[in-house]
Amino acid sequence: MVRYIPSKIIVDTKVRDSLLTHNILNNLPGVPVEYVADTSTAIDAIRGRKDPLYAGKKVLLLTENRGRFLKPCPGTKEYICCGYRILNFATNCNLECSYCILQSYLNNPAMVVYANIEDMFAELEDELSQDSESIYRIGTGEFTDSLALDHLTGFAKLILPYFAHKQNVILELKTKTDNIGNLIDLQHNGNTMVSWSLNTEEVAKREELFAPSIDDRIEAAFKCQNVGYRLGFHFDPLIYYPGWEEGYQRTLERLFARIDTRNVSWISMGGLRFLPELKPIIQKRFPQSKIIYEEFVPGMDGKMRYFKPIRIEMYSRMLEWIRDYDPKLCVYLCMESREVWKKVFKEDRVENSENLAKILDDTGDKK
Amino acid sequence: MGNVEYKQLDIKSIDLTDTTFVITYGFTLTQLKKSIEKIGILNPPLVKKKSREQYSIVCGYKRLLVCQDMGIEKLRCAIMGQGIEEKDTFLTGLFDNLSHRVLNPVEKSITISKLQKYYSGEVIVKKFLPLLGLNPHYSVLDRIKPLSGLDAKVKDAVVDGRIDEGAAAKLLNFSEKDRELLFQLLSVLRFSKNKQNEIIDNSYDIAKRDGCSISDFLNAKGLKEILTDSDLNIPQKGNRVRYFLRKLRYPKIIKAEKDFMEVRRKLNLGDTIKLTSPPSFEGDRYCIEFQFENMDDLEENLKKIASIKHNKEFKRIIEG
Repeated sequence: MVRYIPSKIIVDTKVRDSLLTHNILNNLPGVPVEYVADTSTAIDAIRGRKDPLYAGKKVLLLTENRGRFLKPCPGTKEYICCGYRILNFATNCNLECSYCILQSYLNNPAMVVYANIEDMFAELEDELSQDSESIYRIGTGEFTDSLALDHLTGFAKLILPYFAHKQNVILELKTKTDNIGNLIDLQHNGNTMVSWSLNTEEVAKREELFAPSIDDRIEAAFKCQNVGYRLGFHFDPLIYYPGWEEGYQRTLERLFARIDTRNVSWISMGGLRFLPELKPIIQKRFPQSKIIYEEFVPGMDGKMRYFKPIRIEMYSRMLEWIRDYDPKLCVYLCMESREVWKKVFKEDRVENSENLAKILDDTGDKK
Repeated sequence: MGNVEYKQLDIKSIDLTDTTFVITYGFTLTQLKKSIEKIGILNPPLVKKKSREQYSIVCGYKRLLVCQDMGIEKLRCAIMGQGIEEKDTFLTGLFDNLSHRVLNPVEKSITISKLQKYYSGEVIVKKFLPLLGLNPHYSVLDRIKPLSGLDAKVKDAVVDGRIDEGAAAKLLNFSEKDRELLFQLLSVLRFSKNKQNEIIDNSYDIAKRDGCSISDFLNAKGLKEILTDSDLNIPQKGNRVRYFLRKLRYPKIIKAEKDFMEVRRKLNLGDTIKLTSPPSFEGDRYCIEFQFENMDDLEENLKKIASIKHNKEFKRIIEG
């Protein structure tokens, strides 16, 4: 995989002396740097470009997060959500997946790193000490790929040792990359798990342009397994296309040829879904992509989703194939209704978001 | 505009085919001709010298066309100073037009295409789109810009309001042959703006999904039969064509709708009880609604509703 290198770095003068800023500048010695007191002009300039989404990915903006770093996952009440919390240390992603929801979700097209991590640690310290009884499942991969920039930021080297000493935290690093160099020697004390978004090799080639192959992702997971990390796998988005059955079966076969199911905390599944505004963006930016031409309906949350019987069919088959490898593996659905849960799992085991959160808290806590 | 010289010019010396500075599109000359016949030309056309004996039109294209049509040989014109740059000459014509009328979508598109010779996309979006009465967004630029590249009959349909400008711009995503077929379909069936877009979107999606051309399914037997059925009026044909395309685009959803309607029909609920499925079958809430006049009527309706729960086919639809 080709590691991300920006064409330009813009540093908000407010984070000029931050540790992350130093890390990034040291790791990118030849890249032009511009210091600005106000980032809005720089962001507006990118927005004014012909393809702001493409132009934005070439600019790495180091700025401060003026809001909260730790937020609840923006799941909607209409569907059952896993209820994890997002540690928002960066936004945007360079992997250029055709279906990426960030294309229609983020206002700022630049690659952003919130470099005021001193504020982040202060907030975490405060938050985690408030309720020492609860399990905090925290992820960094909602608005960015957790590891895509790690060779530049060294963020993992800061956050993993911090969480290693906490009693009530499960940190999940979600990625499509094999950028695990920083993880291998870190002390994590079982509090960090690494998870990969997987798909079929055909989908990875066609729709996840700059992401590593499925085999490379599995190989990276294998290396993490060998140094004691718990693992997770997310088949999200599941893509429906002629030949999807063989494609996903092949991926599962390759996965479990390298990964011991006893090291897997959970596997999630979620059908492709997107805001209606994303369709013309995909048509324009990825004209070769056909994934938006299947049968979608407006979901109760306003996002377009596969027609329900298609989702139920895909989840049910996937579950059956996963269960063939290990019937005890924790498998869950991301943002689905109780009705779909019931039809896929043939039991009414998850009635609401609280049920699911409890299952995942308990599963993640079994180190 | 610099110095302007007024001079009687031979109309043959004005190159009416040179539209470098012309943005006018989609007009009739009838009223203007009547006016010129009655009171003559009050404002002389503005021209610019392009060679020793030839002039280009800057303002007054329609006036010159009428004069030519009326056989007028000589006309008093305003001639722009030679030192003025081409860009500024174009802007003179543009601002003259904007000062007294609203441009139609095709004229806006022509304007944008011509501005591209002189300005970056960013300047056009920020400075000129608002002048044209458009929002300053690239998406608007992308929607309007292609219109000038459409075939004349499609452009005319846009100007006349027979086809939506957004739908027309989408036609450029198709091959010439497919564009022609779709345009014919939209023209014959006189769809509303939303339905035009639905027809084009569904056609595009089907073609992309199946890797085929529009003609492959628009020339299909079923569709031809609808279009040639003399028992159907235009709205009926329109509805059937929409259904035909929806069925191709969403076969599973249409089948589910059909199955549900069939089961509902067999429930014999009568006209007073309305049973509806969740929108797109996405939610899990079905709805029963009825009206009644008196207690007997109420009881009868409730009996009918109670009988639904024993219906196996309905249970299969609800519980899967």
